[in-house]
Amino acid sequence: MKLAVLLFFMVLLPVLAGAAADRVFCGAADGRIRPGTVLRGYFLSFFLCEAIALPVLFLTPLGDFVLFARIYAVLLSACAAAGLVFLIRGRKHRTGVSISAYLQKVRDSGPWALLFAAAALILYLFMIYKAYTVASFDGDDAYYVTQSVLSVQTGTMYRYLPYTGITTTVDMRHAMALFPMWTAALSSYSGIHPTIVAHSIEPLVFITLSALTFLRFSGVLFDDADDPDRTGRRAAFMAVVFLLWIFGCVSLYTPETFLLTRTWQGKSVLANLLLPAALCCLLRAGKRPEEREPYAEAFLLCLSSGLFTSMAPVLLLLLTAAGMLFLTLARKDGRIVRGFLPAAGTALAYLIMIMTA
Amino acid sequence: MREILTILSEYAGGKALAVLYAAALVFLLVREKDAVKRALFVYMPLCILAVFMLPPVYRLYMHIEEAATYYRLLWMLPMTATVAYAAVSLCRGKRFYIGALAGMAAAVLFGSCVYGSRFMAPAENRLHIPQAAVDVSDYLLSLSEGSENVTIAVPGELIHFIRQYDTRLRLAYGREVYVAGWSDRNAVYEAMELPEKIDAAELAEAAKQYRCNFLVLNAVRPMNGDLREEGYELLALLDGYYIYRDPDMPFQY
Repeated sequence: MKLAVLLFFMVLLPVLAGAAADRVFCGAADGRIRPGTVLRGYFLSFFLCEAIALPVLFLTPLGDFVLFARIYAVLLSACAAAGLVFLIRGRKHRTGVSISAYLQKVRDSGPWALLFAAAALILYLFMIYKAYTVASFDGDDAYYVTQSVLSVQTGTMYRYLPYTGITTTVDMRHAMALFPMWTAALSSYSGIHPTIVAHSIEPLVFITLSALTFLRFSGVLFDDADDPDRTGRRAAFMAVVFLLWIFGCVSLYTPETFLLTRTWQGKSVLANLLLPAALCCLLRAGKRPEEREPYAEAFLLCLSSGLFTSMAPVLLLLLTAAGMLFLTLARKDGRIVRGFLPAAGTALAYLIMIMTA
Repeated sequence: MREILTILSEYAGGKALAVLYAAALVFLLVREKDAVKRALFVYMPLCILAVFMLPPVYRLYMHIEEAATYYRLLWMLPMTATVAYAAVSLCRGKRFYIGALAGMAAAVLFGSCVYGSRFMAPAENRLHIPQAAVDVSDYLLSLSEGSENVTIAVPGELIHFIRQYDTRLRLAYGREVYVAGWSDRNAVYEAMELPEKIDAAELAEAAKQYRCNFLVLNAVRPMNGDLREEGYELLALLDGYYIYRDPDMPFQY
């Protein structure tokens, strides 16, 4: 039962909220849940978490965690309910490829496509299995995970030093990145210990979200619809990506090391979800600058970035600005700059907030 | 400049995956005809890398953040996607699988498996923290007479985990004493962790100063003297740890 409640808040609601995000931000009305829908739903839910937690942190005595958790649950549920309505209404206009049709496509694409798809699936399931059964040590957990436990046990936010437990004033640098509060909220709804949520459950979600991001990458990188081996190339790309993840631990500093050893930390989400997703948006906008979806997704992504780490708005701003510049030079299309301005502006606004806090 | 090169070298870890990325960049520079892909996977990363190498950028970064985190700018480089894309694009037409298999082999040969890292171990429980931390915490809380502010001192191998389990246990010292520049001196840490042989009298005095209700000591740590002679009660040997209680230290409520 506890796990069902956790999955309800951690998976179902964000995915349904993605349908609302599709309708509101992208103008999509085809009633289908795509990988992009899932990602946009999570970005929206992360933004809601930050948008609610920050004012509660600063405007309530001792940072009322219980109040934040309640408001977050209500607003996330409202977004999910709206998403469900849009999905139901849109089912008559469904376009795109269903999962069964996609699997058939893989089967029809020849033996190498099947082989690489199977390899990618096995590698993905292996990483999921390892994430659940292997513990990794990182000293930063003594801060971030303990912060989640503190909030659940004391009902406050950032009012105790996580290392020792003595009371303190709000540490502005860390308090604005409220990702531990997302973990704490999920724990409070489900009754599952926050450290279990962080170490055993969150990796399953975030590894999957990163995998979805790279799956979308493959779709844009190998976008020649007339290529009979397109599906095979995409499957091969995913297999190589997953192996690079597993064997990317060449130092403590690489995104791959963070992904598989510190998945539940905001820095890992930045390196393995936000930055690749931003680049994917840039790539898609470069290919089809007339489409609204990449710009909307980049905007949502930047809205959510403040939740994870103070570095997130900085790197997203730099990457978006660099991408805008190079794409404009490549395409000579002013829509790209105009399209990404809201995203860049959001990241800049976060940066100003952080620097003046 | 030397610091930047050191950061780059440490990031690459001395492994050839960085060389693989460079090779993929060169390959795309030569073979990739799509202007958008060239812009985002070749020119932009090269520009980011060039900016990363500039000493004024490094000095500017140090004003904003710690120098130890400068490497995170490299996260903007799409290394994984670039290598994977180059591998699959290596051979044209139906032979794409040759490049993909070569890419997979290169990842295994030139990389380092994360599951072989010394920081990974089979999980002892769903919390993914040592079971000893759970057992010791549960035992101490069962003795704390309902107090939610029990102060304890534990050895370094448990420091990071106790409060990830239960924050009702306060620590006389935490992770901050292990990281240079994060904290002032701590008498309990100095008595408990620094000497080769713990001096019981010194530890007892420091623990009383920090109002510790319990002391947890690794059973293999040698000690001069006996904490029982300093007024402590030896309660248990649990998971390889001696657990002492100061009967004169009241619990806080």
